[in-house]
Amino acid sequence: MFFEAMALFLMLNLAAGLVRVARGPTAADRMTVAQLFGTTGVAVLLLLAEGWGRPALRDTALVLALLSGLAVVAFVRFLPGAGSDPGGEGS
Amino acid sequence: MSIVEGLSGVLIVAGGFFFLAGTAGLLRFPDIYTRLHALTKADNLGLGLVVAGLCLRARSWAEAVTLIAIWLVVLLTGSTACYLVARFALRSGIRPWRHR
Amino acid sequence: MMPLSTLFDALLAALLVALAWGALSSRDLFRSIVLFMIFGILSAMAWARLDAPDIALAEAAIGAGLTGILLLDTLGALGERNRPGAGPVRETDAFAGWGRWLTLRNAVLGASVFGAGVAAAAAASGLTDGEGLAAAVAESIGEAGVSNPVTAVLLNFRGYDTLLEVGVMLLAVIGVLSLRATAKAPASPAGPLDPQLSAYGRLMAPVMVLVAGYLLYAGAHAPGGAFQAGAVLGGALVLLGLCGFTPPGRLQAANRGLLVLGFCVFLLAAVALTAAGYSLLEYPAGRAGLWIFWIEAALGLSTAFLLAELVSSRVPGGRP
Repeated sequence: MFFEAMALFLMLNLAAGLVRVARGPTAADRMTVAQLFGTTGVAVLLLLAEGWGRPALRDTALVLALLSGLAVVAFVRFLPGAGSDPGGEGS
Repeated sequence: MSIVEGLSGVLIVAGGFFFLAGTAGLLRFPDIYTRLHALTKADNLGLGLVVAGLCLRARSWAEAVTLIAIWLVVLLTGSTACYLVARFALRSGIRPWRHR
Repeated sequence: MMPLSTLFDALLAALLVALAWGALSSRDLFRSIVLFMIFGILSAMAWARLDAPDIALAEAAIGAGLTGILLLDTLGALGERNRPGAGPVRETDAFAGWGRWLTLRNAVLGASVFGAGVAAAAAASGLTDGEGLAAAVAESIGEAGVSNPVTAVLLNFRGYDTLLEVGVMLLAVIGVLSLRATAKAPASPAGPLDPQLSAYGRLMAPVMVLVAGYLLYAGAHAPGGAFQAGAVLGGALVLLGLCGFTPPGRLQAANRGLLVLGFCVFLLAAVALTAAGYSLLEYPAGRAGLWIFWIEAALGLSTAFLLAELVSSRVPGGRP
Protein backbone atom coordinates (compact mmCIF):
# COMPACT_ATOMS: atom_id res chain seq x y z
CA MET A 1 0.00 0.00 0.00
CA PHE A 2 2.68 2.45 1.03
CA PHE A 3 4.97 1.21 -1.71
CA GLU A 4 2.29 1.50 -4.32
CA ALA A 5 1.62 5.05 -3.20
CA MET A 6 5.29 5.94 -3.53
CA ALA A 7 5.45 4.23 -6.92
CA LEU A 8 2.43 6.24 -8.05
CA PHE A 9 4.06 9.43 -6.79
CA LEU A 10 7.21 8.68 -8.78
CA MET A 11 5.16 7.94 -11.90
CA LEU A 12 3.48 11.32 -11.57
CA ASN A 13 6.96 12.81 -11.43
CA LEU A 14 7.75 11.08 -14.69
CA ALA A 15 4.59 12.39 -16.32
CA ALA A 16 5.66 15.90 -15.33
CA GLY A 17 9.13 15.30 -16.74
CA LEU A 18 7.68 14.72 -20.20
CA VAL A 19 7.14 18.45 -20.47
CA ARG A 20 10.88 18.82 -20.87
CA VAL A 21 10.84 16.51 -23.89
CA ALA A 22 8.24 18.69 -25.51
CA ARG A 23 9.88 22.00 -24.67
CA GLY A 24 13.61 21.41 -24.09
CA PRO A 25 15.24 23.33 -26.86
CA THR A 26 18.23 21.10 -27.49
CA ALA A 27 18.76 17.38 -27.96
CA ALA A 28 20.73 17.21 -24.74
CA ASP A 29 17.72 18.46 -22.79
CA ARG A 30 15.59 15.68 -24.18
CA MET A 31 18.23 13.09 -23.44
CA THR A 32 18.26 14.08 -19.77
CA VAL A 33 14.60 13.12 -19.58
CA ALA A 34 15.53 9.64 -20.78
CA GLN A 35 18.06 9.56 -17.94
CA LEU A 36 15.38 10.61 -15.48
CA PHE A 37 13.04 7.90 -16.66
CA GLY A 38 15.78 5.33 -16.33
CA THR A 39 16.65 6.21 -12.74
CA THR A 40 13.07 6.72 -11.62
CA GLY A 41 12.12 3.48 -13.33
CA VAL A 42 14.74 1.70 -11.25
CA ALA A 43 13.28 3.24 -8.09
CA VAL A 44 9.73 2.27 -9.06
CA LEU A 45 10.77 -1.31 -9.82
CA LEU A 46 12.58 -1.60 -6.48
CA LEU A 47 9.57 -0.26 -4.60
CA LEU A 48 7.22 -2.63 -6.40
CA ALA A 49 9.60 -5.54 -5.76
CA GLU A 50 9.23 -4.82 -2.05
CA GLY A 51 5.55 -4.05 -2.15
CA TRP A 52 4.42 -7.09 -4.15
CA GLY A 53 7.13 -9.41 -2.86
CA ARG A 54 8.67 -10.20 -6.24
CA PRO A 55 12.46 -10.42 -5.99
CA ALA A 56 12.74 -10.85 -9.76
CA LEU A 57 11.91 -7.18 -10.18
CA ARG A 58 15.20 -6.31 -8.50
CA ASP A 59 17.00 -8.08 -11.31
CA THR A 60 14.93 -6.09 -13.78
CA ALA A 61 15.94 -2.89 -12.00
CA LEU A 62 19.60 -3.88 -12.24
CA VAL A 63 19.35 -4.59 -15.95
CA LEU A 64 17.53 -1.29 -16.51
CA ALA A 65 20.21 0.62 -14.63
CA LEU A 66 22.99 -0.98 -16.68
CA LEU A 67 21.39 -0.49 -20.07
CA SER A 68 20.15 3.06 -19.67
CA GLY A 69 23.70 4.19 -19.04
CA LEU A 70 24.61 2.61 -22.34
CA ALA A 71 22.01 4.74 -24.11
CA VAL A 72 23.63 7.99 -22.99
CA VAL A 73 27.05 6.82 -24.14
CA ALA A 74 25.52 6.03 -27.53
CA PHE A 75 23.95 9.48 -27.59
CA VAL A 76 27.24 11.32 -27.22
CA ARG A 77 29.07 9.00 -29.59
CA PHE A 78 26.65 8.76 -32.45
CA LEU A 79 25.21 12.21 -32.79
CA PRO A 80 27.21 14.50 -35.04
CA GLY A 81 28.04 18.08 -34.22
CA ALA A 82 30.18 17.42 -31.18
CA GLY A 83 32.94 14.85 -31.54
CA SER A 84 33.96 12.71 -28.66
CA ASP A 85 37.57 13.70 -28.60
CA PRO A 86 38.84 15.79 -25.71
CA GLY A 87 40.47 19.15 -26.10
CA GLY A 88 39.02 22.24 -27.72
CA GLU A 89 36.12 24.13 -26.25
CA GLY A 90 32.84 25.18 -27.78
CA SER A 91 32.83 28.60 -29.37
CA MET B 1 4.65 -0.52 13.09
CA SER B 2 8.10 -1.23 14.41
CA ILE B 3 10.84 1.34 14.63
CA VAL B 4 12.73 -0.19 11.70
CA GLU B 5 9.67 -0.07 9.50
CA GLY B 6 8.96 3.50 10.48
CA LEU B 7 12.52 4.57 9.82
CA SER B 8 12.52 2.81 6.47
CA GLY B 9 9.32 4.61 5.54
CA VAL B 10 10.82 7.97 6.46
CA LEU B 11 13.90 7.29 4.34
CA ILE B 12 11.82 6.27 1.34
CA VAL B 13 9.64 9.37 1.60
CA ALA B 14 12.77 11.51 1.85
CA GLY B 15 14.05 9.83 -1.31
CA GLY B 16 10.78 10.63 -3.01
CA PHE B 17 11.22 14.26 -2.04
CA PHE B 18 14.55 14.36 -3.82
CA PHE B 19 13.01 12.81 -6.91
CA LEU B 20 10.44 15.58 -6.83
CA ALA B 21 13.20 18.15 -6.47
CA GLY B 22 15.02 16.63 -9.42
CA THR B 23 11.95 16.84 -11.63
CA ALA B 24 11.16 20.35 -10.48
CA GLY B 25 14.70 21.40 -11.32
CA LEU B 26 14.51 19.70 -14.69
CA LEU B 27 11.43 21.72 -15.54
CA ARG B 28 12.30 25.08 -14.06
CA PHE B 29 16.04 25.61 -14.35
CA PRO B 30 17.19 27.90 -17.12
CA ASP B 31 19.71 25.86 -19.07
CA ILE B 32 21.04 22.37 -19.70
CA TYR B 33 23.87 22.58 -17.21
CA THR B 34 21.68 23.50 -14.25
CA ARG B 35 19.15 20.88 -15.31
CA LEU B 36 21.85 18.21 -15.26
CA HIS B 37 22.73 19.33 -11.77
CA ALA B 38 19.14 18.83 -10.66
CA LEU B 39 18.90 15.48 -12.36
CA THR B 40 21.93 14.01 -10.63
CA LYS B 41 20.40 14.87 -7.27
CA ALA B 42 17.57 12.52 -8.10
CA ASP B 43 20.10 9.87 -9.09
CA ASN B 44 22.32 10.09 -6.05
CA LEU B 45 20.20 11.16 -3.13
CA GLY B 46 16.78 10.16 -4.35
CA LEU B 47 17.64 6.62 -5.23
CA GLY B 48 20.18 6.39 -2.39
CA LEU B 49 17.59 7.18 0.26
CA VAL B 50 15.06 4.82 -1.31
CA VAL B 51 17.68 2.06 -1.38
CA ALA B 52 18.64 2.81 2.22
CA GLY B 53 15.03 2.54 3.28
CA LEU B 54 14.61 -0.74 1.40
CA CYS B 55 17.84 -2.13 2.82
CA LEU B 56 16.45 -1.76 6.32
CA ARG B 57 13.63 -4.07 5.33
CA ALA B 58 15.82 -6.53 3.44
CA ARG B 59 15.34 -10.13 4.38
CA SER B 60 18.89 -11.24 3.78
CA TRP B 61 22.36 -9.84 3.27
CA ALA B 62 22.26 -10.86 -0.38
CA GLU B 63 19.21 -8.71 -0.92
CA ALA B 64 20.78 -5.69 0.75
CA VAL B 65 23.98 -6.10 -1.24
CA THR B 66 21.95 -6.31 -4.47
CA LEU B 67 20.16 -3.09 -3.61
CA ILE B 68 23.38 -1.27 -2.83
CA ALA B 69 24.97 -2.61 -6.01
CA ILE B 70 22.07 -1.21 -8.03
CA TRP B 71 22.55 2.15 -6.38
CA LEU B 72 26.28 2.13 -7.11
CA VAL B 73 25.64 1.30 -10.77
CA VAL B 74 23.16 4.17 -11.07
CA LEU B 75 25.60 6.47 -9.25
CA LEU B 76 28.42 5.68 -11.63
CA THR B 77 26.21 5.83 -14.69
CA GLY B 78 24.56 9.06 -13.63
CA SER B 79 27.76 10.93 -12.98
CA THR B 80 29.36 9.73 -16.22
CA ALA B 81 26.23 10.61 -18.15
CA CYS B 82 26.09 14.08 -16.62
CA TYR B 83 29.70 14.72 -17.56
CA LEU B 84 29.30 13.39 -21.09
CA VAL B 85 26.10 15.32 -21.81
CA ALA B 86 27.55 18.53 -20.37
CA ARG B 87 30.64 18.20 -22.55
CA PHE B 88 28.44 17.46 -25.55
CA ALA B 89 26.42 20.59 -24.86
CA LEU B 90 29.51 22.72 -24.30
CA ARG B 91 31.06 21.65 -27.57
CA SER B 92 27.78 22.19 -29.37
CA GLY B 93 28.18 25.81 -28.41
CA ILE B 94 25.56 26.15 -25.70
CA ARG B 95 26.68 28.82 -23.27
CA PRO B 96 25.93 28.49 -19.55
CA TRP B 97 23.15 30.75 -18.35
CA ARG B 98 24.14 33.98 -16.72
CA HIS B 99 21.99 35.78 -14.23
CA ARG B 100 20.96 39.14 -15.61
CA MET C 1 -11.45 6.27 -3.93
CA MET C 2 -10.06 3.78 -6.41
CA PRO C 3 -7.51 1.31 -5.13
CA LEU C 4 -3.97 2.51 -5.61
CA SER C 5 -2.97 -0.24 -7.98
CA THR C 6 -5.77 0.75 -10.37
CA LEU C 7 -4.60 4.35 -10.31
CA PHE C 8 -1.07 3.18 -10.98
CA ASP C 9 -2.21 1.02 -13.89
CA ALA C 10 -4.32 3.81 -15.34
CA LEU C 11 -1.44 6.26 -15.19
CA LEU C 12 0.94 3.73 -16.74
CA ALA C 13 -1.49 2.94 -19.55
CA ALA C 14 -2.18 6.62 -20.23
CA LEU C 15 1.54 7.38 -20.33
CA LEU C 16 2.20 4.51 -22.72
CA VAL C 17 -0.45 5.69 -25.14
CA ALA C 18 0.69 9.31 -24.87
CA LEU C 19 4.30 8.34 -25.49
CA ALA C 20 3.41 6.23 -28.52
CA TRP C 21 1.32 9.06 -29.92
CA GLY C 22 4.06 11.56 -29.28
CA ALA C 23 6.76 9.40 -30.86
CA LEU C 24 4.73 8.94 -34.02
CA SER C 25 3.48 12.49 -34.38
CA SER C 26 6.72 14.31 -33.72
CA ARG C 27 8.50 15.81 -36.68
CA ASP C 28 11.81 16.07 -34.92
CA LEU C 29 13.36 12.63 -35.27
CA PHE C 30 15.48 12.87 -32.16
CA ARG C 31 12.46 13.70 -30.04
CA SER C 32 10.72 10.66 -31.50
CA ILE C 33 13.66 8.49 -30.56
CA VAL C 34 13.79 9.74 -26.98
CA LEU C 35 10.06 9.20 -26.61
CA PHE C 36 10.45 5.70 -28.01
CA MET C 37 13.23 4.89 -25.54
CA ILE C 38 11.10 6.13 -22.68
CA PHE C 39 8.25 4.03 -24.08
CA GLY C 40 10.55 1.02 -23.77
CA ILE C 41 11.28 1.77 -20.12
CA LEU C 42 7.60 2.08 -19.31
CA SER C 43 6.85 -1.08 -21.26
CA ALA C 44 9.26 -2.92 -19.01
CA MET C 45 7.30 -1.59 -16.05
CA ALA C 46 4.05 -2.67 -17.66
CA TRP C 47 5.39 -6.21 -18.07
CA ALA C 48 6.45 -6.16 -14.43
CA ARG C 49 2.96 -5.06 -13.48
CA LEU C 50 1.45 -7.86 -15.58
CA ASP C 51 3.49 -10.35 -13.55
CA ALA C 52 5.78 -11.33 -16.44
CA PRO C 53 9.27 -10.75 -15.05
CA ASP C 54 11.05 -12.67 -17.82
CA ILE C 55 9.64 -10.36 -20.46
CA ALA C 56 10.24 -7.35 -18.23
CA LEU C 57 13.92 -8.32 -18.09
CA ALA C 58 14.11 -8.70 -21.85
CA GLU C 59 12.24 -5.44 -22.44
CA ALA C 60 14.53 -3.55 -20.07
CA ALA C 61 17.58 -4.79 -21.93
CA ILE C 62 16.27 -4.52 -25.49
CA GLY C 63 13.58 -1.89 -25.54
CA ALA C 64 15.13 0.51 -23.10
CA GLY C 65 18.72 0.01 -24.18
CA LEU C 66 19.66 -1.65 -27.42
CA THR C 67 16.78 -0.48 -29.61
CA GLY C 68 17.45 3.12 -28.61
CA ILE C 69 21.10 2.68 -29.50
CA LEU C 70 20.24 1.26 -32.90
CA LEU C 71 17.96 4.20 -33.59
CA LEU C 72 20.55 6.72 -32.43
CA ASP C 73 23.11 5.05 -34.65
CA THR C 74 20.79 5.37 -37.64
CA LEU C 75 19.98 8.95 -36.77
CA GLY C 76 23.65 9.81 -36.60
CA ALA C 77 24.20 8.39 -40.06
CA LEU C 78 21.21 10.25 -41.47
CA GLY C 79 22.18 13.52 -39.87
CA GLU C 80 25.62 13.52 -41.32
CA ARG C 81 24.46 12.83 -44.79
CA ASN C 82 21.82 15.55 -44.77
CA ARG C 83 23.00 18.45 -42.69
CA PRO C 84 26.06 18.04 -40.52
CA GLY C 85 25.58 19.60 -37.13
CA ALA C 86 21.81 19.82 -37.27
CA GLY C 87 19.32 17.18 -36.34
CA PRO C 88 17.32 15.67 -39.18
CA VAL C 89 13.66 16.54 -39.32
CA ARG C 90 11.24 14.58 -41.38
CA GLU C 91 8.83 16.33 -43.67
CA THR C 92 5.64 14.88 -42.29
CA ASP C 93 4.95 12.94 -39.15
CA ALA C 94 4.41 9.21 -39.19
CA PHE C 95 0.73 9.59 -40.03
CA ALA C 96 1.45 10.74 -43.56
CA GLY C 97 -0.92 8.35 -45.28
CA TRP C 98 -4.14 8.82 -43.36
CA GLY C 99 -3.47 11.84 -41.26
CA ARG C 100 -3.43 11.75 -37.50
CA TRP C 101 -7.11 11.84 -36.58
CA LEU C 102 -8.16 9.25 -39.11
CA THR C 103 -5.33 7.02 -37.88
CA LEU C 104 -6.49 7.47 -34.31
CA ARG C 105 -10.07 6.60 -35.17
CA ASN C 106 -9.05 3.54 -37.15
CA ALA C 107 -6.67 2.42 -34.40
CA VAL C 108 -9.37 2.65 -31.73
CA LEU C 109 -11.88 0.82 -33.93
CA GLY C 110 -9.37 -1.84 -34.89
CA ALA C 111 -8.23 -2.42 -31.31
CA SER C 112 -11.85 -2.71 -30.12
CA VAL C 113 -12.73 -5.24 -32.81
CA PHE C 114 -9.58 -7.22 -32.14
CA GLY C 115 -10.11 -7.17 -28.38
CA ALA C 116 -13.71 -8.27 -28.76
CA GLY C 117 -12.63 -11.07 -31.06
CA VAL C 118 -9.99 -12.32 -28.64
CA ALA C 119 -12.44 -12.21 -25.74
CA ALA C 120 -15.02 -14.15 -27.74
CA ALA C 121 -12.47 -16.75 -28.77
CA ALA C 122 -11.26 -17.18 -25.21
CA ALA C 123 -14.80 -17.58 -23.91
CA ALA C 124 -15.64 -20.11 -26.61
CA SER C 125 -12.60 -22.27 -25.91
CA GLY C 126 -13.23 -22.41 -22.18
CA LEU C 127 -10.11 -20.57 -21.06
CA THR C 128 -12.10 -18.07 -19.07
CA ASP C 129 -10.45 -18.50 -15.72
CA GLY C 130 -7.43 -16.49 -16.77
CA GLU C 131 -5.07 -19.37 -16.18
CA GLY C 132 -4.35 -20.13 -19.80
CA LEU C 133 -1.99 -23.03 -20.10
CA ALA C 134 -0.39 -22.58 -16.69
CA ALA C 135 -2.13 -25.65 -15.30
CA ALA C 136 -0.93 -27.86 -18.15
CA VAL C 137 2.63 -26.62 -17.74
CA ALA C 138 2.52 -27.11 -13.99
CA GLU C 139 1.54 -30.74 -14.47
CA SER C 140 4.55 -31.54 -16.65
CA ILE C 141 7.12 -29.30 -15.00
CA GLY C 142 8.63 -32.26 -13.19
CA GLU C 143 10.02 -33.75 -16.39
CA ALA C 144 11.16 -30.46 -17.81
CA GLY C 145 14.56 -30.36 -16.16
CA VAL C 146 14.13 -26.75 -15.07
CA SER C 147 11.75 -25.27 -12.54
CA ASN C 148 11.10 -21.94 -14.23
CA PRO C 149 7.95 -22.53 -16.33
CA VAL C 150 8.92 -19.95 -18.94
CA THR C 151 12.27 -21.58 -19.61
CA ALA C 152 10.61 -24.98 -19.63
CA VAL C 153 8.20 -23.89 -22.33
CA LEU C 154 10.82 -22.09 -24.40
CA LEU C 155 13.55 -24.67 -24.30
CA ASN C 156 11.73 -27.92 -23.75
CA PHE C 157 8.03 -28.10 -24.45
CA ARG C 158 8.17 -25.72 -27.42
CA GLY C 159 11.84 -25.89 -28.20
CA TYR C 160 11.12 -26.14 -31.91
CA ASP C 161 9.70 -22.60 -31.95
CA THR C 162 12.77 -21.25 -30.22
CA LEU C 163 15.03 -22.99 -32.70
CA LEU C 164 13.28 -21.32 -35.60
CA GLU C 165 13.26 -17.94 -33.84
CA VAL C 166 17.01 -18.10 -33.41
CA GLY C 167 17.27 -18.97 -37.09
CA VAL C 168 15.23 -15.90 -37.97
CA MET C 169 17.49 -13.70 -35.85
CA LEU C 170 20.53 -15.14 -37.59
CA LEU C 171 19.00 -14.49 -41.00
CA ALA C 172 18.26 -10.89 -40.04
CA VAL C 173 21.85 -10.25 -39.02
CA ILE C 174 23.11 -11.92 -42.19
CA GLY C 175 20.91 -9.51 -44.09
CA VAL C 176 22.38 -6.55 -42.23
CA LEU C 177 25.91 -7.76 -42.80
CA SER C 178 25.35 -8.16 -46.50
CA LEU C 179 24.22 -4.54 -46.77
CA ARG C 180 27.19 -3.14 -44.98
CA ALA C 181 29.93 -1.43 -46.94
CA THR C 182 32.96 -2.86 -45.18
CA ALA C 183 33.36 -6.46 -44.23
CA LYS C 184 35.34 -6.21 -41.06
CA ALA C 185 35.21 -4.18 -37.88
CA PRO C 186 36.54 -0.64 -38.38
CA ALA C 187 39.88 0.37 -36.95
CA SER C 188 40.04 2.32 -33.73
CA PRO C 189 38.06 5.56 -33.77
CA ALA C 190 39.49 8.70 -35.28
CA GLY C 191 41.19 10.95 -32.80
CA PRO C 192 41.94 10.46 -29.13
CA LEU C 193 39.05 9.27 -27.06
CA ASP C 194 37.70 10.87 -23.94
CA PRO C 195 39.39 9.11 -20.99
CA GLN C 196 36.14 9.24 -19.06
CA LEU C 197 34.49 7.04 -21.66
CA SER C 198 37.16 4.37 -21.57
CA ALA C 199 37.18 4.39 -17.77
CA TYR C 200 33.42 3.96 -17.74
CA GLY C 201 33.61 1.12 -20.24
CA ARG C 202 36.34 -0.58 -18.27
CA LEU C 203 34.26 -0.46 -15.11
CA MET C 204 30.83 -1.31 -16.46
CA ALA C 205 31.54 -3.99 -19.04
CA PRO C 206 32.77 -6.60 -16.52
CA VAL C 207 29.74 -5.86 -14.34
CA MET C 208 27.45 -6.46 -17.31
CA VAL C 209 29.22 -9.70 -18.18
CA LEU C 210 28.76 -10.85 -14.59
CA VAL C 211 25.07 -9.96 -14.62
CA ALA C 212 24.66 -11.78 -17.93
CA GLY C 213 26.24 -14.90 -16.47
CA TYR C 214 23.97 -14.65 -13.45
CA LEU C 215 20.85 -14.30 -15.62
CA LEU C 216 21.87 -17.37 -17.63
CA TYR C 217 22.36 -19.42 -14.50
CA ALA C 218 19.22 -18.10 -12.82
CA GLY C 219 17.07 -18.82 -15.85
CA ALA C 220 16.59 -22.38 -14.72
CA HIS C 221 14.79 -21.56 -11.51
CA ALA C 222 13.97 -17.84 -11.59
CA PRO C 223 13.20 -15.24 -14.24
CA GLY C 224 16.09 -14.99 -16.64
CA GLY C 225 17.43 -17.22 -19.35
CA ALA C 226 19.40 -17.26 -22.57
CA PHE C 227 17.81 -14.30 -24.30
CA GLN C 228 17.99 -11.95 -21.34
CA ALA C 229 21.59 -12.95 -20.66
CA GLY C 230 22.46 -12.52 -24.33
CA ALA C 231 20.90 -9.07 -24.41
CA VAL C 232 22.90 -7.85 -21.42
CA LEU C 233 26.11 -9.41 -22.74
CA GLY C 234 25.41 -7.78 -26.11
CA GLY C 235 25.07 -4.50 -24.27
CA ALA C 236 28.50 -5.06 -22.75
CA LEU C 237 29.98 -5.68 -26.20
CA VAL C 238 28.32 -2.56 -27.60
CA LEU C 239 29.57 -0.53 -24.65
CA LEU C 240 33.12 -1.67 -25.21
CA GLY C 241 32.86 -0.77 -28.87
CA LEU C 242 31.45 2.67 -28.10
CA CYS C 243 34.14 3.39 -25.55
CA GLY C 244 36.83 2.82 -28.09
CA PHE C 245 38.02 -0.69 -27.34
CA THR C 246 38.65 -2.75 -30.43
CA PRO C 247 38.20 -6.48 -30.14
CA PRO C 248 41.40 -8.53 -30.23
CA GLY C 249 42.26 -10.03 -33.58
CA ARG C 250 41.37 -13.56 -32.59
CA LEU C 251 37.91 -12.52 -31.47
CA GLN C 252 37.35 -10.73 -34.76
CA ALA C 253 38.36 -13.86 -36.64
CA ALA C 254 36.02 -15.98 -34.53
CA ASN C 255 33.18 -13.50 -34.91
CA ARG C 256 31.35 -15.32 -37.69
CA GLY C 257 31.62 -18.60 -35.84
CA LEU C 258 30.18 -17.05 -32.71
CA LEU C 259 27.26 -15.61 -34.64
CA VAL C 260 26.13 -19.01 -35.85
CA LEU C 261 27.16 -20.96 -32.77
CA GLY C 262 23.82 -20.84 -30.96
CA PHE C 263 21.72 -21.89 -33.91
CA CYS C 264 24.14 -24.63 -34.88
CA VAL C 265 24.35 -26.08 -31.39
CA PHE C 266 20.58 -26.11 -31.09
CA LEU C 267 20.17 -27.65 -34.52
CA LEU C 268 22.84 -30.27 -33.87
CA ALA C 269 21.13 -31.17 -30.61
CA ALA C 270 17.83 -31.61 -32.44
CA VAL C 271 19.41 -33.72 -35.17
CA ALA C 272 21.35 -35.85 -32.68
CA LEU C 273 18.26 -36.49 -30.59
CA THR C 274 16.18 -37.41 -33.61
CA ALA C 275 18.92 -39.72 -34.86
CA ALA C 276 19.06 -41.40 -31.45
CA GLY C 277 15.40 -42.23 -31.69
CA TYR C 278 13.74 -39.52 -29.58
CA SER C 279 11.04 -37.34 -31.09
CA LEU C 280 11.90 -33.79 -32.09
CA LEU C 281 13.80 -32.01 -29.31
CA GLU C 282 12.73 -34.45 -26.64
CA TYR C 283 15.61 -34.61 -24.20
CA PRO C 284 16.71 -37.86 -22.57
CA ALA C 285 14.83 -38.43 -19.34
CA GLY C 286 16.60 -37.01 -16.30
CA ARG C 287 19.26 -35.21 -18.33
CA ALA C 288 17.02 -32.48 -19.69
CA GLY C 289 18.41 -29.85 -17.33
CA LEU C 290 21.95 -30.44 -18.55
CA TRP C 291 21.00 -30.28 -22.22
CA ILE C 292 18.98 -27.13 -21.66
CA PHE C 293 21.85 -25.44 -19.85
CA TRP C 294 24.39 -25.98 -22.60
CA ILE C 295 21.97 -25.05 -25.35
CA GLU C 296 21.08 -21.90 -23.43
CA ALA C 297 24.74 -21.02 -22.94
CA ALA C 298 25.40 -21.27 -26.67
CA LEU C 299 22.23 -19.32 -27.48
CA GLY C 300 23.09 -16.58 -25.01
CA LEU C 301 26.59 -16.17 -26.39
CA SER C 302 25.34 -16.05 -29.96
CA THR C 303 22.54 -13.63 -29.14
CA ALA C 304 25.06 -11.26 -27.61
CA PHE C 305 27.25 -11.20 -30.71
CA LEU C 306 24.27 -11.02 -33.04
CA LEU C 307 22.89 -7.98 -31.25
CA ALA C 308 26.30 -6.33 -31.07
CA GLU C 309 26.76 -6.87 -34.78
CA LEU C 310 23.68 -4.81 -35.51
CA VAL C 311 25.29 -1.72 -34.01
CA SER C 312 27.68 -0.57 -36.63
CA SER C 313 30.26 0.83 -34.23
CA ARG C 314 30.62 3.61 -36.67
CA VAL C 315 32.18 6.78 -35.39
CA PRO C 316 31.10 10.31 -36.34
CA GLY C 317 32.69 11.27 -39.61
CA GLY C 318 33.48 7.71 -40.59
CA ARG C 319 31.69 5.50 -43.02
CA PRO C 320 29.13 2.91 -41.83
